[in-house]
Amino acid sequence: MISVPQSLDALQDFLDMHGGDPHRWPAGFAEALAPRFEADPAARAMLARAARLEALIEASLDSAPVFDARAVIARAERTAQVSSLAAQRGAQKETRRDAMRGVSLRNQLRPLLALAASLFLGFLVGASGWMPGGRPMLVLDGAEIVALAAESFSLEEAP
Amino acid sequence: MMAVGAGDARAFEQLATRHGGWATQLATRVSGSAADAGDIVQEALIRVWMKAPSWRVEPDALAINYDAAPAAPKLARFRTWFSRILVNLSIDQRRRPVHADIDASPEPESGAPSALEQVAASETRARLKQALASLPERQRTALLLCQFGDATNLDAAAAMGVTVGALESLLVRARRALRAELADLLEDPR
Repeated sequence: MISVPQSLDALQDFLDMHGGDPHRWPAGFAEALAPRFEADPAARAMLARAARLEALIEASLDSAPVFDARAVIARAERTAQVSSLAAQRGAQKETRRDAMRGVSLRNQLRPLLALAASLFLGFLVGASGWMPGGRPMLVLDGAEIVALAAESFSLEEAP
Repeated sequence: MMAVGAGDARAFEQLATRHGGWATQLATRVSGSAADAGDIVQEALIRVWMKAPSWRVEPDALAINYDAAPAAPKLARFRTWFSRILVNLSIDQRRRPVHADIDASPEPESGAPSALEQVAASETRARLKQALASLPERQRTALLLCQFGDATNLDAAAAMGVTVGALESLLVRARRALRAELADLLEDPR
């Protein structure tokens, strides 16, 4: 069951949607609308304008050149081969780049590993309390440091 | 397409020969340039050749009714896919800067209409071209696709990758704009 446009506005919308060639309309519409176009001059004029618009559009378009199958196919095959080769080379380059990226990452990590190792070693030495030459560590609190500093200052300032 | 996907050059030639004609017409319409149509078809064929190994029948294509013979559905699905490639390439081509194509200008023929009629016709054609060019890209493409060959709105929607409702909305806006722009040309000349 098709819904035939009743008003002129609805008919104009239908023609804008499907064009002015009844052969292109969805099945059943051409037959259903034929009596309307027969009876209504306004509807008929609307259809004529829609058909004329399509004819004008068609007339304004460039006519297509003849498809030169042999030439186009040859060019397409040649370009496709080149593209395929380029894609293969691209893939090879990418593989090489990945390998290089791995090497470069290892190189970048090397100083970090060295730093981490030295920090760890430093921590071990500090925690063990080991001092070169076996001398005990001098441990001073804040007040002693201030007193020592004042003493050395007064020694230096004394005439 | 299966054979093309397997790298069979002869199958590719057959496919290109079978579809090259209408593809050139479609590219000419949508790009608006007969001079560029050959390049567009060539580029589209290269894409077919390159993508053929991974080409699969689209599930939504099964829903399209092409009113075709039983053997045609595969062809129709390929045609839809190929149309979409052509339409996208043609739109890209249209967006590029325009260069005047001297070869595409029609030569005056003997026995043709008078000079005055030719001028009037070429003015009308120029107005039409301008009116078409002033439409938004998608509206113009929709209009040109649905008037192409025996294409239905369904085919045009599939080629543009939009729903039929969206296509018809584009068509209504495009035709409305053209009717307003070209009102004097659309009146009955009698």
